[in-house]
Amino acid sequence: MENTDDDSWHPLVEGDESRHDPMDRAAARDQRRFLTIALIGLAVLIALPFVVGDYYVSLFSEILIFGILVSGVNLLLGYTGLVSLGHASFMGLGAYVTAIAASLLGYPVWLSMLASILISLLIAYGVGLLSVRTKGVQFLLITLAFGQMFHAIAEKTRFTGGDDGMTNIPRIDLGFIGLDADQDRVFYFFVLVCFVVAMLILRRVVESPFGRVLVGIRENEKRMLAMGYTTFPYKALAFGISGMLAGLAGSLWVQHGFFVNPHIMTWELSGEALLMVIIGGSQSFFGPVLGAAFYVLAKDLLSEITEAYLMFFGLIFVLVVAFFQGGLAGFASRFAERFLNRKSDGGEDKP
Amino acid sequence: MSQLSVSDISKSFGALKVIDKFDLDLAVGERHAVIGPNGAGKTTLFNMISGWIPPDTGRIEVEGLDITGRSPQAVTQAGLARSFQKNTLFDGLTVAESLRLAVQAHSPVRFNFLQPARKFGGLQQRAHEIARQMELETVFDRDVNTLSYGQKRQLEVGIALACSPKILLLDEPAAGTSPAERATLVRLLTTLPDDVTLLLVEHDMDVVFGVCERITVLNYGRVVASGTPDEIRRDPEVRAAYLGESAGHAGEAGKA
Repeated sequence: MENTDDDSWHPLVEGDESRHDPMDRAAARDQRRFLTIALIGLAVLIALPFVVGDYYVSLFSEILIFGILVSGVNLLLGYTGLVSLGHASFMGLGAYVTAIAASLLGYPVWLSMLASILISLLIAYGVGLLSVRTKGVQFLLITLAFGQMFHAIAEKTRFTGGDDGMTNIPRIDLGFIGLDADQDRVFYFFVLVCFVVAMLILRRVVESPFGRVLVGIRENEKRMLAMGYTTFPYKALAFGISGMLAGLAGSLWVQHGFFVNPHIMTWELSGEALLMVIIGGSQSFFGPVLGAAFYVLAKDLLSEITEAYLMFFGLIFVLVVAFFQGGLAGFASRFAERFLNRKSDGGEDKP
Repeated sequence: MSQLSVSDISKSFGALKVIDKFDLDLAVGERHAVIGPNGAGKTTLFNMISGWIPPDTGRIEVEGLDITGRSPQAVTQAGLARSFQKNTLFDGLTVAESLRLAVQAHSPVRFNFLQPARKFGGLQQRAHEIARQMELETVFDRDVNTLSYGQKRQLEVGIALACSPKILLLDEPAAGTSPAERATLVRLLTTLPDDVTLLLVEHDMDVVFGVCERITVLNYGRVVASGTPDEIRRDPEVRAAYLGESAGHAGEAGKA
């Protein structure tokens, strides 16, 4: 479908040669692969609440919410090559904005959600402008410092309940289509819709010329500068978009649990988000979501068996990093390729 | 008006004067080489012209536009692209993607963040054209880290060329290549578009005499001589300072 688009918006040359270029076939194959995984995944996610019990429906809402967060984190980690330890604070920001707007100020939840998305985009973009000029450990520490700052603010703010946080936060009102989001199954589908929209936007971003620039920065920023790219606004916007997705996740999180407290802003959660990305596979578009599912389910399972679940989780993490190159997604992709007996040409769908 | 005009630039690192009052004027389409022994200041000179190091004094202009002290990206946007002596490539990307990124850097679509990059067929077309020019067509879809060393050197030049520069600065394009790879490079460099002005730093005399029509010889940061390959070959000071025993070899290459 994409290939039949007319070329009237060609930036440089008119013509349709590109249709016959080999790379176009590679891009088309990549697109086919994306659609296949997306459609199968979507079918599974739609069928799920009809198959599993209430408890797991709620757990899967959690997975999808974390899926939005970690896909945003991966825009920085996997695509741009930046490791941020401050993303929990943007999730917390989104959560608090929704809580304050909906619960304290009495605005409708949908409007509060929009506010969450917008405010976390703007603030993350601002933080990005200040932090992306550094790299490596410095960048990590700056984002950590910002995160801790937001956390401290949340703890000290009286009108949001300080350390205790806020409770009784309403969920979105779906009365206009005759549904009640207070039912976990209904809320699950609402989260699913948000998840799909977020993933579609993210896919657009990584496929765009802007997204290709991010990958170039990851691979060799010096050469990008020499090519004429001023790289820092690209990185700052990537940071902003990634913070925006974290904000959306936070806004859904607070509705999911009906409450929020500063704990959501701790750097431990930022670290967990990075773990999910790496376990799932940072070199793949859906990998992080897989990582989130694995993390949430494994944590749930392990914490039933033992209180020292983190220890086992650490062990699993080490094994995945040591033996599954490209995380779970890399493993799945290699497995699928062998299974389908396709011509192997490098494996994972690289960002 | 000259395409590139460098006037009176100097650079010191501490007490060491690396470049001393250097002047250079390149006409449109000129092929010019800067040669000199190790430590003559060639790389520093290149880094100053391409914006990586600001000169202490002097002025650098591209088509009359002052670019002195501007950032590398601003210099490239002004029409001066460079390659690197040590491969500075995108190891995890394909040749196609690397070239497309370079083409895209000089197109307004680089800021587009909501439409798929593949819709902009012009980028792809131009990238493919460059690959053909640099004889990288057969490896167009290969990952850069799977290329041979010679192909990587070709890509190093290709990426700079894909920026559609008015002036191309090549920093030892033949560094580390085998004789066969070098011959390919010389062939490719002699077939560059006529309107591209070429400034070359190179150790290998086959490449210098094979590609360039004017040569500037640098020693201890100062210009020792400047002229056509023949004049340079005959210049006694140059022989003493630089060519030394390789002068005979260079003479043969010049005849070829």
